[in-house]
Amino acid sequence: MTEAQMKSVALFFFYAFADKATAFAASTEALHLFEKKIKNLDSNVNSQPMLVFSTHKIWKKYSKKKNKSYQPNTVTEQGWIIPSQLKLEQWWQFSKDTESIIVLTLIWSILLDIDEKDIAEGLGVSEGTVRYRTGKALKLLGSIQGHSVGVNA
Amino acid sequence: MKKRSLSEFMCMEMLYDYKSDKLDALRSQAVEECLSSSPRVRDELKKLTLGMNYCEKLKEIKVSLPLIEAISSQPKPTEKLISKLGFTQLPQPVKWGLEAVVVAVAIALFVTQVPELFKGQEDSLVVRKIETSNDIEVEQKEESIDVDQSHIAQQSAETKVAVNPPEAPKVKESVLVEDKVVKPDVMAVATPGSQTSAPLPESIVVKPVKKQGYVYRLVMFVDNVDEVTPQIVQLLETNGGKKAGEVELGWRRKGGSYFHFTIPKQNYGLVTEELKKYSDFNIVKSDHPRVMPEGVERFILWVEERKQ
Repeated sequence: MTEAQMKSVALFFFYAFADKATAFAASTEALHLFEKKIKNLDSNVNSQPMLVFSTHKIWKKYSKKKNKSYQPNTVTEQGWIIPSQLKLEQWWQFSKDTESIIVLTLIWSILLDIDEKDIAEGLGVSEGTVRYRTGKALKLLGSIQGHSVGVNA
Repeated sequence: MKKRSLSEFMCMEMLYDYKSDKLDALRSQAVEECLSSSPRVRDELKKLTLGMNYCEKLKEIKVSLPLIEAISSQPKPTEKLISKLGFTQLPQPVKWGLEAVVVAVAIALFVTQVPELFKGQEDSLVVRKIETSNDIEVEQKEESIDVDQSHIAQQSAETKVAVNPPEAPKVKESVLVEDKVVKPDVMAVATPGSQTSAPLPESIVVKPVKKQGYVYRLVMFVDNVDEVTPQIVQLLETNGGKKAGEVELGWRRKGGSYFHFTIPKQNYGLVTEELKKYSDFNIVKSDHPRVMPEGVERFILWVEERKQ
């Protein structure tokens, strides 16, 4: 497991859950699962599909128990460095309003730059489906963004 | 060739591919044409661009190194459980005691549960022995029923009643109705005046008789096959005859014509009588894998040129 993959997992759960403590707990569990899955894999084999699979599985688990209270701490609070000018309201709005799998596909595909082929393999869908979901997600996010820009103007 | 332009819908669906340069030159050109003509498509592209730009900003979020270290240093669930129990921190005698308890429980479970498992098998052995002794008692009855079975096997699918020989008084009748066989022991209870006895084992049940299809084979020798063939075809067709095989009625082969057909049962007599006008023939009934539905007969007729 590379440091980049660990960062990807941590970022994935940050984008997926609004709560940092939940993101931390889910990241830990997903990394354990990922580690277990790639244990027997050859080092030359691409492990990205397994990363997608692990994050998706743990996301499903944690999305069902959103109300569970995780204890926030300094590490989790300061773990994700957010640029000061970045407004996350639109993102949370988009996450709330949009079908989960579309949001997740956008995270993997655009925000984490995971290859569409790997996402498709990890989810067990076609590449076309991944591309369709990504395109749809971008349009929806753009419409929320456009609306907020319009309102602000 | 007339150039086909993309519909608005298709164009909107291709916008993401267009934006990420994954379309071929022709498609890109078509999308661009669509963009220049349709304000809706332009609007969609604007949304897509806004979304992509916002994603670029989102990508600026970074993860701190302490967080990565904290995540990677988190214990696994099994390790968490062990540390919660504090097993490693316990004094040595306590550890030994706990280990001894675990071993004792495992042995106790093994000793108490394993005989239970074998007990079930022993019970089944006893049951099998009892069944064997029953089998010896009913052996003679089975012999008599076997005789009856062979009799039933020769019967056609029509409803028939086979009466058992007097040596088997408990099994009075076995009834075969449309391939379904009523168990003899059931009949023994149902038949008035029959002796009440213990039901016979399942092995005595008569198995259903498999239906055997058949075909009538006819061979005719005529003087002019070419002339007779269409007449026979017409005769068959007027009497409801239909081709049954792969080839058409009156298929010409070297030396004769071949007719593989089915006709309604009621026309059987009429057709055979009509055929006799051309030549004498014998009808042979032989086995055939295909079982015909009720009221339909299958024929194979070979009409051959009579040798001078």
